[in-house]
Amino acid sequence: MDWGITLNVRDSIQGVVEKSQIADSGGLEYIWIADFPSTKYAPVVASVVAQTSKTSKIGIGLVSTLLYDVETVVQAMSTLIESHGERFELLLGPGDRLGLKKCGISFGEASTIVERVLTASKRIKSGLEKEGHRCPIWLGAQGPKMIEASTAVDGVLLNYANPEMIKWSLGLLANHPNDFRVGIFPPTLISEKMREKDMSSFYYSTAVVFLGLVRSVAEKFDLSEQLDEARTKLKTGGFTQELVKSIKTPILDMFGVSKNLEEIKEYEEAIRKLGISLLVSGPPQGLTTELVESLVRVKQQR
Amino acid sequence: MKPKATGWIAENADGLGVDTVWIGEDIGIGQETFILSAVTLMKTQQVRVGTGIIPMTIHNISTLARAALTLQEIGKGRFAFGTGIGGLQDLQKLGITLKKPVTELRSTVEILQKLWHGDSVSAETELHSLNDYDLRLKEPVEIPVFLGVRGPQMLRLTGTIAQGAILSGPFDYLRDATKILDTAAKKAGRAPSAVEKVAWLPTIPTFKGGKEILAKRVVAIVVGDMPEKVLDLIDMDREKLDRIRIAVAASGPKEGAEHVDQEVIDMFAIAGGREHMVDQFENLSKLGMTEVVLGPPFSGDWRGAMTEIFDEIVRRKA
Repeated sequence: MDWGITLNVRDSIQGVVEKSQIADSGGLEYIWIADFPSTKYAPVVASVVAQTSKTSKIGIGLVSTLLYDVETVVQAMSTLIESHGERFELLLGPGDRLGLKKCGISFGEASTIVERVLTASKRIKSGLEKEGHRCPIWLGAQGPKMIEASTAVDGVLLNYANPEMIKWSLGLLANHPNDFRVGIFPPTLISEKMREKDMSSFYYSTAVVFLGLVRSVAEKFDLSEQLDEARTKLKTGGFTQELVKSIKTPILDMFGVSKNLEEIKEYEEAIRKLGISLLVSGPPQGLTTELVESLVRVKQQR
Repeated sequence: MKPKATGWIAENADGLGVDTVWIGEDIGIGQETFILSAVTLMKTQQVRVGTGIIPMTIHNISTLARAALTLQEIGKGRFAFGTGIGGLQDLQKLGITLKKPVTELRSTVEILQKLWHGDSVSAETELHSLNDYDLRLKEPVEIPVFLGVRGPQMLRLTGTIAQGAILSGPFDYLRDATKILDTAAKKAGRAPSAVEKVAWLPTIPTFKGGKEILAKRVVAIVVGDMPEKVLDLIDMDREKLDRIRIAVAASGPKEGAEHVDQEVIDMFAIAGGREHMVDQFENLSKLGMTEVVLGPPFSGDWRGAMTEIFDEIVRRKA
């Protein structure tokens, strides 16, 4: 299974360079560069990473097809490939609804969002192929419609960590093409020893995913009641540490990967058997140099 | 331009004595400007790298703010953000129209400056909408803004709020534009020298494989496209210019070029031998230009020509 790390969430450029060099020399197969709402523009950061690292593939995204038009994305990916070689992959999706609203971008009709993302993704794929560039395209997905739609591109990155949820997602992909890839990109904390500060960041990230859970999925996994309760608290009191603490830990654990060396071996084997071929470590794993080093060490020792 | 060509410029810019590498966005064509700027910044140690220009009309303002912020951090003070409305014909093709372009450009620059200052911004303009958006900065970031402008209102705006102007037009126009910029700067309580003046004219060496006929054709196109208001500023036989415009409109630049002589070339472009081109740079400096762009069209052995021109500049500076 390939391993990746998400960078550029809150990093300085120097921070991204240092962490990507650790990831690259440590044998991580992927470095993913987060885009909006990160304040650093991912295609530029990806160019810097390509110039300062050697072998890791560089994923860009999630890139919002609502924020950027098709031509802009094709031009950016073409430039990266022409300048630095075919090291790049692209993760597409609608993006962060609240963040986009702040920039005057409306989500539009919710019932058509999957179709609009898919149309844009197909056009981007076709545009890159016309330019003669190989650039695998992934869709970021959580809801069943987006998961099903993803078979039109090269892979799907699921926003899940729980094996039961992953298994359910894969059931929606029954007829995917042979070379189609399925990965996960949950909040992640993989380390030899867990520090309280890192666990706190981990649960913060998992709470964000849980609060954004698609309604039909919440119902499917009998989480509606807890979700409604948490969302009510979010509306009245905002996103606070108290809110995170009020969500039961077993629920938060469903939405992230928090494992030590022994646990990750077992977990990796379990999801590999399900058909997962890529584990992209989301925050907090990439937030500090120490955690990126931990990830590399665990990967090498497992 | 292909990465091989832009790569050569980036790799040689410091050694040639270039002050700034300006990278323009040709909407939908060529390399992505922000990435090319990053590549150039990473390959150089001393030169400034500027976007020249990014049309602010075709990007979300958050993208402009974020991309410039990223490049500023990469360049550690060597990045300049050049922007403008963009070419009218390009915008029309995209269905973009602006009722008040000067107001829009002013608003865009002011919003960007607030975001880089670390403020949270809510604003509604003709093109942009922000609702309590900020860049989560720990401290303000200074990014010089250069505006690609032409008309007097735009020039006054630039003299008032920007750190530089990117100007394109005949020599006589550049002389007048400088006066407007300086007057506006003074009126805003700024020193005229606070506003850099970058002249961006067609530069066509006619040595190292460069051909005079290309210079004439390029100038014919420029004359053909030049607004009447700008032509009115030029101290030159107007009939001569009209003959070029008529020929270009009727039969194309090849025919228009037949009416272009050295006087017309020297008004609208920088073309000729190495020494003549550098003489023209010096003439632009006398008009108040603080920087001259050696730019497209690139033809013949343009690398060799560029090297010789910069050698001549360095020799004269010494």
